[in-house]
Amino acid sequence: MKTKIKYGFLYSLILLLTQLLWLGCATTQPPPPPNTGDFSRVATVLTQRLLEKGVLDKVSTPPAKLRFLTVVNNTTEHMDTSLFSNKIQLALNESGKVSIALNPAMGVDYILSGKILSTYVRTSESRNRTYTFQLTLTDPQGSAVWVGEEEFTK
Amino acid sequence: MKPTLYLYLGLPLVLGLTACRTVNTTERASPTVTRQMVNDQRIITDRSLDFGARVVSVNQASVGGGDLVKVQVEIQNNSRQHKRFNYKFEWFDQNAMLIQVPAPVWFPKEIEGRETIDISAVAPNPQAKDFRLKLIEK
Repeated sequence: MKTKIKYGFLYSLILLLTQLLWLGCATTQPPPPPNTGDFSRVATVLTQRLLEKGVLDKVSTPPAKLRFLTVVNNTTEHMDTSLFSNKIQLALNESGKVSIALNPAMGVDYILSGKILSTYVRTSESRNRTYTFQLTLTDPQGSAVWVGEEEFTK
Repeated sequence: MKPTLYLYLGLPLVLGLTACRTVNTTERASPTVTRQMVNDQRIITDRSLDFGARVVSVNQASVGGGDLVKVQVEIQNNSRQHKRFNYKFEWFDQNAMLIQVPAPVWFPKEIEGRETIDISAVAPNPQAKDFRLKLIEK
């Protein structure tokens, strides 16, 4: 009887230690990549800042003709950057202050380009990735007339 | 004194002390700029949110080429606790019709205890004349 109780106790102890060991080895999940909602929020904020500046109103014949270059993904993650650039184009088009030039040969007033960067911070408690979205509006001479940046942490 | 009594007396004290991180603020006594204030009306369905993220004032300005409305809303946390909420601006044209925007999203915001912050939005186009702000607890 005594031996049975002893074995039972030993079994419980081993089970508890195994569980503790398993918990100790458990890793925190890496942060999820940006989703459509994140892209929408950043696109809205950056578009509002660009419209607020009034740069697009300074063309001789409005609406400003804009060429959108690709958004470069400088992070280590795979991201469909067209989701982000499409939201920017839609919001700018909706403002009525811009007409998007699809033909590269067409003369334009401004060129808009973007970049996505990320930094990764790992502590004992968490893993965070901060994404930085940069947009640059340049004139045909190559001078940056507006630069916008927005970041968020996941 | 029983140990449970210590727990009952001590726990609220500890919780109270840890929740006391509030924000001190300083600003000019006589502001040099005047705000174009907006008379607002409010529909309060969440009293807790209204206490932790209360709309103090609303002001507006014309931005861009002068044809876009920018709205700024002052939010105050009357509690001593850190508060998280989401907000969204909706825009209406001169006929009070809702303007559909490509990405209608909620924006997350955090406010410390007793802190005052400003949230703002720029109209999506010159047709947007009026707005509605929605706040929801996170």
